[in-house]
Amino acid sequence: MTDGRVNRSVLVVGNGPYCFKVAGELASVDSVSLAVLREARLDEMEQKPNLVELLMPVELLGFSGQPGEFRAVFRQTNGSHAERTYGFVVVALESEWISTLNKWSVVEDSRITSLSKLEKYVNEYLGNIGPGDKVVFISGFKQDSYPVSQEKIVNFAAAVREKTGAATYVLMEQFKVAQEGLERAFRLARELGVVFVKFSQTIPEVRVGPKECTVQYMDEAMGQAVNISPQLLIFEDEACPPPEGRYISDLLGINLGNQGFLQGDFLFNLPIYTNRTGIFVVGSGKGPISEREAEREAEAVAEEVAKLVCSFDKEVVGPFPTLNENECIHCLTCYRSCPHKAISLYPGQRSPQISPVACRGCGICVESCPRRAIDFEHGESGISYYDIDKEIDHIVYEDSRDVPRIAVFACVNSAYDAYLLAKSRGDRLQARCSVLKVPCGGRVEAAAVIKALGSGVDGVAILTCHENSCKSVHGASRCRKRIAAVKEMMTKCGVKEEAILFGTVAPGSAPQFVELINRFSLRLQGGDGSSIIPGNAGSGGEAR
Amino acid sequence: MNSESGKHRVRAKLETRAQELTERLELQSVRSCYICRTCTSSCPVTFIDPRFNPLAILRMVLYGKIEEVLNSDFLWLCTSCYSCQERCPQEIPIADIMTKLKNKAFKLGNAPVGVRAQMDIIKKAGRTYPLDDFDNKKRAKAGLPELPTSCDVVKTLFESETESLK
Amino acid sequence: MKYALFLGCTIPARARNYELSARRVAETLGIELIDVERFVCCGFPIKSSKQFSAELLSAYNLALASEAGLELCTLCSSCTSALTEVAHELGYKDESQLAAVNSHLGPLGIQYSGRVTVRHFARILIEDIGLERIRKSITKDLSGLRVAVHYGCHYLKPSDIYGGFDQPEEPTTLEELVSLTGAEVIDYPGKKKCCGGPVLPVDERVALSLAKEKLDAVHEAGADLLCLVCPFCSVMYDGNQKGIENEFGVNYGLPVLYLTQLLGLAMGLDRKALGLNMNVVKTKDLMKKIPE
Repeated sequence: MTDGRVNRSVLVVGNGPYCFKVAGELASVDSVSLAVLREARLDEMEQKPNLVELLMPVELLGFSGQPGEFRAVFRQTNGSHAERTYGFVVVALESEWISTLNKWSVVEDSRITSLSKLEKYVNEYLGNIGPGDKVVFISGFKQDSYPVSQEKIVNFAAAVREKTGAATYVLMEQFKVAQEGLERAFRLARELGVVFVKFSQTIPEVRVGPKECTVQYMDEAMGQAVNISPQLLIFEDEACPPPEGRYISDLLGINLGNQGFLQGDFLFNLPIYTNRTGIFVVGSGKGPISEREAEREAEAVAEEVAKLVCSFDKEVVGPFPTLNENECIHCLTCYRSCPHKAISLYPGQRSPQISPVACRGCGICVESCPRRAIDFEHGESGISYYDIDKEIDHIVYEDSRDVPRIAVFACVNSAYDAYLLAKSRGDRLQARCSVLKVPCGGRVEAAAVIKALGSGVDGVAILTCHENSCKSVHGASRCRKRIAAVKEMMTKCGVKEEAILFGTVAPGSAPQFVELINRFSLRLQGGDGSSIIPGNAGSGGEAR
Repeated sequence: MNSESGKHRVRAKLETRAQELTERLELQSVRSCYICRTCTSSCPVTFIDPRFNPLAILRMVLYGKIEEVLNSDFLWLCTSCYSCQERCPQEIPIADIMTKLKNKAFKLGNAPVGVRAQMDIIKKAGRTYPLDDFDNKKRAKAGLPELPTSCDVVKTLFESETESLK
Repeated sequence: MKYALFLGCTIPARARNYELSARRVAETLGIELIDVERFVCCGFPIKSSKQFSAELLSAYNLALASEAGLELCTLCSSCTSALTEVAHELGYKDESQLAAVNSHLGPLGIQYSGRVTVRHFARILIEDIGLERIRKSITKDLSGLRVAVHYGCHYLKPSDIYGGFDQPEEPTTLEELVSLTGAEVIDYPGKKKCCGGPVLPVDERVALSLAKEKLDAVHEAGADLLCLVCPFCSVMYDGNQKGIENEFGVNYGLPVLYLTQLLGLAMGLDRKALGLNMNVVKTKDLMKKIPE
């Protein structure tokens, strides 16, 4: 904090009714402002939340700062600008469902419609359906299908079957059951007599004539072609990311996930966390979720904000980085490379400021600073795994005549746990390993690798998380690129690059760790035909 | 519901007939099928002759194509070995369903000649392989007791036309 | 130990070797088998065509046993399943079913009490006699023989009517009984597969193909003989073996023995007394592997 004052207000950014619900949940814990990027109909709200300020419709022009003091600049419809400060931000954008009818080359009419239209005008569509009629639902084939829309289809199909007595068919490209209650819904619908059809090789064909439409497909389980002329044909909609998603993610510095949805499921975090502390994302903007789930997220974010407010009052524990202003040359490399946007520039301040609240201690800034102006202060005494140089100096190598000696840089989020587990399981490593715990692969600088290599080991392994599940967003991929550069450099210098290994390991996966090390060891011993250890051609010769 | 149009009535009638058959033969349990294909992969007959496929038959029942099954040449290839029924994770009594379908097909006169002949023999003689005096002589020679060569009780039993116990 | 012996249709006419050997083994073990003259077909062959009539035939047979106050001992697996199924339905479900059945049996002057136990001969050996007692009657060591066992379907299935006897997916009882003789029981692929008998009157080619599959596997596994417990399975593997050899251009010469014949041999019973001369595939070469 620059001035020690903590702002505890919350800004909710949304594009529809859901953000009002979220604001309502938050209002019980904090003062809430709501910025709605589009005009939403207030008369549709069940209950208007108690807001400090409602900006609607409004454009978010600028965003900066750190938890406790985020600054946002708005432009209102009348052209006036407004600047506000908030402690926290909750992004509650909603995704949209769009019809897939054009993808099937059909036009909507009284017999053919989309799931969202059916939802809206259910009585109109089902009014003329009776026993002997046929109703067909089509899920997937032309777009991704989601558990939430499948649940709607299954429940509608069951209701159609039960209330109208019509023969009801659901043609599905894929069954999704990974949602609470969905499998049960499938079962109930099946037992009511809804016919579900699975597809693996073929897709259904839809033809629309003036008098009737036909759906033709191969029932792969029955081994027969089926021809149905339904009185009602319903297509699942396609989920589209919120149109404002990309722009908001750029402005706020939060990650985009799959297909332009806001960050999706992430191994290490709650779904509502983002790469930035103090900024949360809730609701379908991350990808379609059920209403139940969206509600739960709204409740959860209120709790998380309350927790974070409390954390401001406590002293920051754990290692946090400090910047030596005398060394800093204002190149802003740290500012650009921080995956958590914990480094800010403030007018009037000489150097970038690192927020101890937002910093997650990955050490990427330490690695990236060309002046080595950033260092970590130690949180817990005695442990200084951020100071790799010192660690390398302290490596004690056991005497080893039979197997190679390997220095391992192991990311604390994956490979280090895997190593500990392998050790406790008594897995056999075909190498003498000195394992250095690093906060992230992104922390390991080229110089450390070379220094380790020069310290008398036969090989150096750098083991990180898988790239798509790196806790520091791009830490693992930065590391991979760096190691590739080091290897290239070594090759140019005439040194065999095989003595360096970059690998990724799933969190705590002991077998992966053991396999990587043992294969590496074999390579070092010339198991692939080329020993690179001087004097050690498998005859027990002494390594350096 | 507006089900007054003629077309509607025809469709409704067809649908009702299939539904009626499903209910009368108590075949509703086919609805539980989630197409895991355990039945088909367990079936010794499918392995030899793919015309017979328990899953396909369940699907046909589900689609209301019961009459097509009853008229088929494959229904009677089921050996009633119960492999499918024992293994069905949804506990669908598949072998029992085959028996019910075969019963119905028999009633409609769709049973193979061999099956009908077997029935006639049992009706008449009370046994699949009727015994005569010559058989009894051979039995006696082997030291086995003689057995009756005719049987009247089965005729009485066959006159009952009520539903099955199950 | 006293049981009503239910022979069914196939055994008295086409499997007298099974009947002979079962009676001899029973005598040896002190099992008394009572013949009930009035028994009729168990109903199994017509279950597919007319289930209720089939069930009435079963009920009639059960009633005869109940009248005699005896448990039923069956030799044929299909009879076992047909009779057990009806005994199960009438014994465990509501009384109204029993009353309905009895109303049909009434004109024949007989009533069913609803309480008759049906068990296959092999099951009686396991459950009532016990392996230890059988072992005491074994006088010959058949350790020179490699035996493949065929369970057949209805010896174990549908399992819900058999009160937990053996395990249909991992059966052991026949192996246990055969092992008593000292013979080596060998495994082969498709051990639990059906013999194909029930489709013989429907499509002979399919039925024979099913039987052939097993004969191939047993032959390939190097068995000296196939051991089974059902006359219908025997019709497929023994009676039709020559036909299969001709139809498919193969050659097995694989002796097919009933469990009771194999046990009888180990008990030192005479080859003829066990009806081994009536087996279709000749067993003479097999005898050379058995000690005198």
